[in-house]
Amino acid sequence: MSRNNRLRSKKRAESAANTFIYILLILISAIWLIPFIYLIFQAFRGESTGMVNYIFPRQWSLKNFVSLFTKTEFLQWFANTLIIALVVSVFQTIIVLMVSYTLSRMRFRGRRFLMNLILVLGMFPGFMSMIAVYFVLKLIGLTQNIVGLMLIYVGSSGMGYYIAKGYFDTIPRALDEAARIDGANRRTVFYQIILPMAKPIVIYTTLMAFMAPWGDYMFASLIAFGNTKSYNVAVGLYTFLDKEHIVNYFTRFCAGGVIIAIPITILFMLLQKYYVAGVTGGAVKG
Amino acid sequence: MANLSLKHVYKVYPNGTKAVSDFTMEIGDKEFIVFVGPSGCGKSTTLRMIAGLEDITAGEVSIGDLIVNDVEPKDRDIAMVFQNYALYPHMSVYENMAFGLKLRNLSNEEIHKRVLETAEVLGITDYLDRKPRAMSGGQRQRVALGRAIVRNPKVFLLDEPLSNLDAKLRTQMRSEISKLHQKLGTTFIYVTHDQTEAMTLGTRIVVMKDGYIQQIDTPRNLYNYPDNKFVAGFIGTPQMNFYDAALNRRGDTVEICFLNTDDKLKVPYENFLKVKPEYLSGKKEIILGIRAEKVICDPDYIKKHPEAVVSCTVSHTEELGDETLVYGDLAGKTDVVADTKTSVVFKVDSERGSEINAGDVVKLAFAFHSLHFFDKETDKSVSPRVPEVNAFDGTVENNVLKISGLEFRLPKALETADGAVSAEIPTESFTFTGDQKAACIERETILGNNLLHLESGGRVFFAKTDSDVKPGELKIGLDMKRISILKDSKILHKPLELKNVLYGSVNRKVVKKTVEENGKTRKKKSVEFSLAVANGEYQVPDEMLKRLVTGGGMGVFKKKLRFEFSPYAVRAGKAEGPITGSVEKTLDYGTERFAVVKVGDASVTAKTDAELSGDVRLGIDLNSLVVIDDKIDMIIA
Amino acid sequence: MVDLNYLKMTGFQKFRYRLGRFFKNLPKNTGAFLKRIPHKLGRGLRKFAGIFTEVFAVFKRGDWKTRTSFFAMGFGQIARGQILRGILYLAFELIFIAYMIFFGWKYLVKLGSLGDVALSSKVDPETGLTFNTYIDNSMLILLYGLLTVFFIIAFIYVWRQNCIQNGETQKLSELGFRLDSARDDIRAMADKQYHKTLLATPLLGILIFTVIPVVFMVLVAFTNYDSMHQPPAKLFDWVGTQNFATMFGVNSVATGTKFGFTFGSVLIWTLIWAFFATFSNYFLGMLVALMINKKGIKGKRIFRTILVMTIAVPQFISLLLVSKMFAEDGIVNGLLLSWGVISEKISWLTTGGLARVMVILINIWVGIPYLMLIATGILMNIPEDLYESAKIDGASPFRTYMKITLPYMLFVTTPYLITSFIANINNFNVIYLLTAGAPYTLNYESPAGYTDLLITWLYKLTMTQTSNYKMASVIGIMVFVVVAVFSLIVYNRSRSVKDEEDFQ
Repeated sequence: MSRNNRLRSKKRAESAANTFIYILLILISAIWLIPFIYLIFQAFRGESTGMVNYIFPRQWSLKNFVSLFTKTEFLQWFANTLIIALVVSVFQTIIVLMVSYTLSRMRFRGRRFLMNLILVLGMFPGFMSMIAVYFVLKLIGLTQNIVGLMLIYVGSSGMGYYIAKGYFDTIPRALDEAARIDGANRRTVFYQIILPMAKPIVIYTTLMAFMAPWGDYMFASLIAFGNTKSYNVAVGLYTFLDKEHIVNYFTRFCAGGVIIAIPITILFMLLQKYYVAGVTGGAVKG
Repeated sequence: MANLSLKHVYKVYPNGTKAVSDFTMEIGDKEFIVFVGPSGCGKSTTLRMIAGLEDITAGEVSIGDLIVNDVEPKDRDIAMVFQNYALYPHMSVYENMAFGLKLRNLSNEEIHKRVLETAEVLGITDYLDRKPRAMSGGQRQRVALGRAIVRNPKVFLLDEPLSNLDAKLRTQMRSEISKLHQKLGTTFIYVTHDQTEAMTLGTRIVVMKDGYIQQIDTPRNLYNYPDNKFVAGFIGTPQMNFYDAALNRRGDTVEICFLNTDDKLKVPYENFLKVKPEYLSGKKEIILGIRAEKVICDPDYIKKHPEAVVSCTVSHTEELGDETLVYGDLAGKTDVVADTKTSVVFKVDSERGSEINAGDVVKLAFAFHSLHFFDKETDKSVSPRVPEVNAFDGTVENNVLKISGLEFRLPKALETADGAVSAEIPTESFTFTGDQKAACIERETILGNNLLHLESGGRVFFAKTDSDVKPGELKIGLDMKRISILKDSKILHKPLELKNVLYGSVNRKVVKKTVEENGKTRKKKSVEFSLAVANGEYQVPDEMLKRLVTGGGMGVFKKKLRFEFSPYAVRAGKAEGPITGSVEKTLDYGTERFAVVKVGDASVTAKTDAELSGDVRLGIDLNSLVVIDDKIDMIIA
Repeated sequence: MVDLNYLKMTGFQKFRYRLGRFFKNLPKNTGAFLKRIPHKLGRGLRKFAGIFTEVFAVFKRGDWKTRTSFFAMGFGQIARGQILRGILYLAFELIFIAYMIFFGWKYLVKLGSLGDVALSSKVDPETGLTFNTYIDNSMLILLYGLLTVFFIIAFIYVWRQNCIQNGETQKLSELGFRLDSARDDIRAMADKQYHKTLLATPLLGILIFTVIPVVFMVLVAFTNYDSMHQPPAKLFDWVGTQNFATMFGVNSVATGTKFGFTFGSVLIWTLIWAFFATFSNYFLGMLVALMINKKGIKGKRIFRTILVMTIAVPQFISLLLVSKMFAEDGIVNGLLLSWGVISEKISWLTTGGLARVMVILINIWVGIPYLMLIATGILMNIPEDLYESAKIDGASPFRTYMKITLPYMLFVTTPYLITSFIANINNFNVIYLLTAGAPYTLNYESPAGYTDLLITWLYKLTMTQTSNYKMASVIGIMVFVVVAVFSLIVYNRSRSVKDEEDFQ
């Protein structure tokens, strides 16, 4: 039967393609994972503290972790970053929600102008405005501590309304109208109707706001400059790897990296579907 | 007392689009009103204006006795069911229904009682703890209804609630809504684009197109007496057959000539009594409309009326079960898939239907009593149910108009030379206190008015009256102000101009007045508002000023306004008012006298007591002025 | 009219036709475009002038209450019974006046000169110590002066609101309408004016933390604020467009030409980088998503989870780690040496061209998981019937990809691509953490390096000893211009694309 032959050769071609793809995928997974495996191994390496030419530790030990907490200010930095992340995630979410709800739902004079203004302002590199803010904070005395950094993060967070607004736009207006006929004023509509429905985007915004301070080098280094006690983990760990420190601190760096990576990774994995929902702008019903 | 009233409601968007124009309607208690029309006709917009979800550009909406133009939706005592149900997705059914009640601070027990009662009525008691996403479309719709019912409103508003349901569910929910209306006895206002829904649900239907009301009537009347071609084509399935034609009256029969085929139908004149005479001359193009079930295929009928028969080539049939729809073409063009100007669709019973095949040529007759005629350009019906005008041929002798066995003395204003004339006498212009006699052979009651069929001199004519007149011998007279007299198709006398038009504006002035106060004279500056009408100025009463600003907005002071008023609202005399003009002519109708006064470029017809000439002054009753924004043609007050 | 001839053409012919038409219409279109500019300018000017003519009209028409309010804000409101509003306006006016007298005036005056004397030193004859009294601080003058300018603008706006409002309430009371009371106003805050309630705080934050700083920095670009002109010991001055001239290498001074060359090279590299970074991630990420998503591949969740985990780890850890892995004495060199693949260490991240390639490759490693996630989400949402219809029509997998999958993906992710490209122009972390902008070269004006983006160069100019704020500002403005140009182009094109296609 020639039809069977044709089917079989098609199947063979397909399984050949599949095998090829499997190989590729496994290769890709390996390449992606290797650096992290390397990180973990280095963190547990007992002998020497600098960089070496091999991957597997000859001695497994926890002393890097211990010295990380006892001999460096890592704990301070971790605490700093944690506080910043918690505070910022709360306030930033509140502000972003306020702005995106207003711009999505309400029509008022100057709305277009405001949206264009924010768009244009966003075209300036963020760091540029930070220089000026730094001067101001220095005058007030809020540099070299985490309060200044928190102010910076929260202060202009209203500009990041875009994704949340896109999500709000997908909520049908008929709900607002039904609520208004039922007797709700705009405030009640916001709190009792729209917000409960916006759980995915609220979680997304909070998640993003929480995760950002952990990886921010640019602003944190500016504000904290000069006072190592007010570093966040990014700035602090960066110092481990500069020329004077790296010989003694490389493994501690890896240990620090592991300590930070674990909770963040777990958090992200738990909430990843909200991440996807946010980034694809509700195009994925999720 | 009307439960809901809309007066000259307009919705105009800032970019100039007029979504709703001059919507006027009184809706009584317990009525089921349906707004129906194609997409974009303004029906949803009107509903939303009633709800308060859209601002009213001009006009008045009242619920009960209260004008609600500026009242928030929640205070209007209305409830609304949306097309997409708009249920709060994170709340259970119970909470959805309780939401509005909680906002009104009802006690928990009261809320509980009402929700349970309503759930009982709708059969959703078992779903009270479910969330909307766990329910089917029909159930969600019931919850949406429940949320509205539980509020016990004065008016129910429904915006295409069944559009999202499948056909079977739609039919079922339709009857449920109907039963609900019976049970609750509240006024329902329902918006749909589906004319079947409109016809089955409504006590009265409002057909809308492009923002204008086309016709308001009961389903039956809309079906049988459409006012224009749009309503005729919109209502009824299958759609009415339309053909371009012209009518030619030849004595006792009228010839219907089809423009796109060679067929001619000969129909007795008695079926055309209500048709305006100018359409029977063969010179004006009309559109002939006839419904599918009135196109008759029965061979006996066809044998009886051979002069009203056309032939048709069948293209295909649709089997409906108890009857068959047959599609064909009067000119034989059956190979084109789209509709042509000579397509026809008619109904036969299934037995006959099984005999008919594609390609057959059958003979069809049009039922005489069910023909509709529409003016080709304006689409309006030229055989209205309540005709406007009767046309007579007659003579004038010694200023006595002799028509159809009746004699009327012409007043001074209508003095005519002797000779043959034709007269157009509006149906409204007959009085029943005159000295002429006519026999009333029939009385039709249409929409609250009585249409009398009168007979005299061998011909039937019509009179409209709202008084209760019984058939029999009647004494009739004529309101001379309303008739037209023509000679050789030239108008000798026009009817009295009932609508005067003047232009003007409303102005704000700062005046310095010297005022006596406590024995001292003081100069006080105050603001005054005046109404400029043509060349005269009136002081505006406060009520009217408020109405003008509400209707026209704050910018009304800059607008060019058009004032329309009847002759009865204006008096002419030596010192009647601030407007000056000069008399062009006076019209003496015997019992009443009017002066046509030239004011600037316009002519105003005003009632007057004395014989006037030369320069006069006009005084207008401001309360009966209709104020219109001239630029966008919108009634303000 | 339906152009049947056009419909008959092949793809290539259509392209040629459209190209020809574009050039043919070019003069006409440019003419129309140029004609529109003065028209739009005219409209803008008229609107601007309208602000003042409006207020003037209100004054002309106003009664004594309104007219007094032009000078004492809030007076009219109080006189008409709207006490709350009146008091608020009045308080604002008083605060403004107090501010100007006690604070703002000083700085406003000095704005033009940015200070005359920075400090005066006195040597105490007894102790021989130098005492410095600080007089003018250019930075503070600029900052506070700017603040005052903003305050003045805000005051003008509020004053105008006050006047217009007075005009409106005057009209209403003349006509006999009831005016809004304080209770009405408060209730409206939660309803009709809720947008104001919600936006007040965020907008204030944006004003303080973004608007004013950005304007400040833009102004700095026109000064000579750098390490040699640093307050409080020294003053800086306005220098007009001198910095821009330096940046573009117009200056005849030696450093000038180097600056210009540096700027051009860094700019070009920034654009190249942004392009490659964005599109390599995009297509490769899509490819990986397609591979994982393909029917017949098992273990989808495992592969996805592995890749997603790499997003979760904070980026700076990954980047720093990888940068050390590829260091001269890093693990990569170590392993390659020990395996005998190479004979001497490769300076992966410190050799000019190689560093640039490595940066792009490592960025791919960082970015693919994100793109894979997004692409997966979108791929799962492409309606099945598009594919089924293609299958019935007999399309090969490749054609299906080109004609259905790719266009759909491009359509949905165009906004993402745009934002991604723009974000990559400013991608500080990847570059700085990997290479800190190295390698350095004498061809470049220090401290710029071979892999520096405009943004990292900006950072260096600020944070290192050079403290070259003026040039940093100029760079910031340049970044703005680049981003603005791209945004405009793409925004307009994607608009018209959206009109043509219909995926709904």
